[in-house]
Amino acid sequence: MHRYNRGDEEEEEKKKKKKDESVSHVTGSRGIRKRKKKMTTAALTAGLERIPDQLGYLVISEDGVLASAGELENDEHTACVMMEMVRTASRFRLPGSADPPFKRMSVILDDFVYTVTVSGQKVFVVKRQNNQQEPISI
Amino acid sequence: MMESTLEQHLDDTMKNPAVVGVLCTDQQGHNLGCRGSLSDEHGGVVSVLAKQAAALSRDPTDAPTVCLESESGNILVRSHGTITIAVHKIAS
Repeated sequence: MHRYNRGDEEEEEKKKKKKDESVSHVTGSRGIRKRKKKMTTAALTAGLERIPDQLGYLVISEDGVLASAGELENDEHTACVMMEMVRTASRFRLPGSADPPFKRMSVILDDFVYTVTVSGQKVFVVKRQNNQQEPISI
Repeated sequence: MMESTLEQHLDDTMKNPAVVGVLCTDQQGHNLGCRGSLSDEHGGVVSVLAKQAAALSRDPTDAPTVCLESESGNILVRSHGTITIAVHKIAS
């Protein structure tokens, strides 16, 4: 998994900042999540909770789902498919480019969008309302 | 003669200044035609990505668009029936 993380230092820094902020939010609104959580989980999800139009999220590692909420709560199926897609997409290389294949992967459906980023050996999936126009018309 | 229509569409797509690559593949990842930055080697990943994305929707008629966003632009992938199209766009 470490190979997805090149060039993600900036995101890492953001996450660290969020982590610092979230210390005081430990007792915040976590009632929605039913899974057993450690204190560190709040640090992982504090940023995700604040994303506008967010319908739910997943935080996944190689070992499984670390956190989930909203419409993605305990959604193992979506978690599995997303991990497979991250593995597939990471194999995509453009000739002459040393960059990782993606910074962000979006899956756009009729009513909502899944947005996926990889940071610190973890995959962050957010489900959001789709307010966008059709991206292409062929 | 069927191919010439596809080839024409690929050429027309490349006329858009934001488009730097286009690829057309079947469900097995066989390349049906490509231009620019996308080539034979990308067919497999593109078709698998489209197939995996389809598993996210409960509605089988709802074909999802997958977008890989990076420094080198956006790769947009979408299936139309049995064929899958990938377009590599850069900011213009």
